[in-house]
Amino acid sequence: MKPNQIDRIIRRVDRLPTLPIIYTKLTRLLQAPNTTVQTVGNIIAEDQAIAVKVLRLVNSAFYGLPHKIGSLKHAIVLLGLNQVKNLVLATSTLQMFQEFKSAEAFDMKKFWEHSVGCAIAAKVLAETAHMGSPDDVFSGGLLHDVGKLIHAIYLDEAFTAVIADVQENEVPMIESEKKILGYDHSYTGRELAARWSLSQGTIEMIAHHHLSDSSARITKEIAAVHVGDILCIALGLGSGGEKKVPVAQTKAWDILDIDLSRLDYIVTRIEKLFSESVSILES
Amino acid sequence: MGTVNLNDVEDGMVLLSEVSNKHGNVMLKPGDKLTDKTIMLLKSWGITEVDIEGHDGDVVDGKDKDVLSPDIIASIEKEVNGQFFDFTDNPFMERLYGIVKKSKMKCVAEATIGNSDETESN
Repeated sequence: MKPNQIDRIIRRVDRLPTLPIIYTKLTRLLQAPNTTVQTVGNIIAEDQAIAVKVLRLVNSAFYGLPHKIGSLKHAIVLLGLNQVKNLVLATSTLQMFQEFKSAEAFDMKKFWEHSVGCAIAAKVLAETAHMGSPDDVFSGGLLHDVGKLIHAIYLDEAFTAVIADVQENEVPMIESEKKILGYDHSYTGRELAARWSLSQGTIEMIAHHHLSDSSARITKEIAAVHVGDILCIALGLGSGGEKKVPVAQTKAWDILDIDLSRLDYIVTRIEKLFSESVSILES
Repeated sequence: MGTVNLNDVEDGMVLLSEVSNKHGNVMLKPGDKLTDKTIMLLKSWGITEVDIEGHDGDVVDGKDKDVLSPDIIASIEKEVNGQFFDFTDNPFMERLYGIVKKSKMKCVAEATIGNSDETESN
């Protein structure tokens, strides 16, 4: 199959996964200069499942607040609008991943866990590197492998062959995809992200998280997703279908400019946040 | 050295490095034992992480090596080696490999101690 065939799949609007309305509404609201916490609270309150998760998150051990928070508005103030947006995106992707019938060999539940794990890992790296945009990096991490979702839904047989090749021959998935499909999931992911009108920064994190395009400029955000993805695979947080831990490019770690002695702390923090987040998001 | 997020520190842990406030004044010295009260104070000063004594992976690694037999250590190393692609001259991957191996050894060591405790109580 050639990339232009993927373009045709991407254009089939009727069956393509869509981002939920609540996320689109929130993104639009957060870009507007006069948005208030009350307005955001009203949007969240429309979806009771998400409203409950916002309250559970703010009352979790991670925030360690001395008093229980019962008001949605108060919770949004404490978490911050971007954190709430991330929670909505993570919850929505879980629904989206569960909606579609995928290649049998591909475990959607573990794939979603891998996506959440990478989002958390990339965000922890961004915070440790004192980057200005840890919440944008979270979105990029969450959606970095979204191209695999399209492969799993639409390329049943070919993608099953990719998964078998990765497991039997112990090769990285992008190599197998290029060999069997003619392109890899970062290409498909970029096309889908553009169709969803995601920000240019998020599209770039999805398109370049394997750092396979030597001509692309590697930003700190892309480096965080690249390293976050590999940390997640090494720590066994969910699974995106890889058999072995891919080798992180040294330039990515160099770009992040984090002292290597802090990696133990970073790993501990990722594992703690992961187990807590998955239990909240799945509830 | 072990840098620990303030949300993860516990009463009784000992500081490895001094803690200063934003004006550079030393508030706590190396060797000071943390209490619930000082942890709360650190949070109120806006401190997010501290260096904790003994929070060093190698120390734990040493203890685990005492518990595990050489055969088990060798099989853990073989298993972890099999999970990674070859990497050379990549300090990040070397460190990550070390962390994964240490974590696996810790798990097996804890299970071994747990099993022997159970056997003794029987």
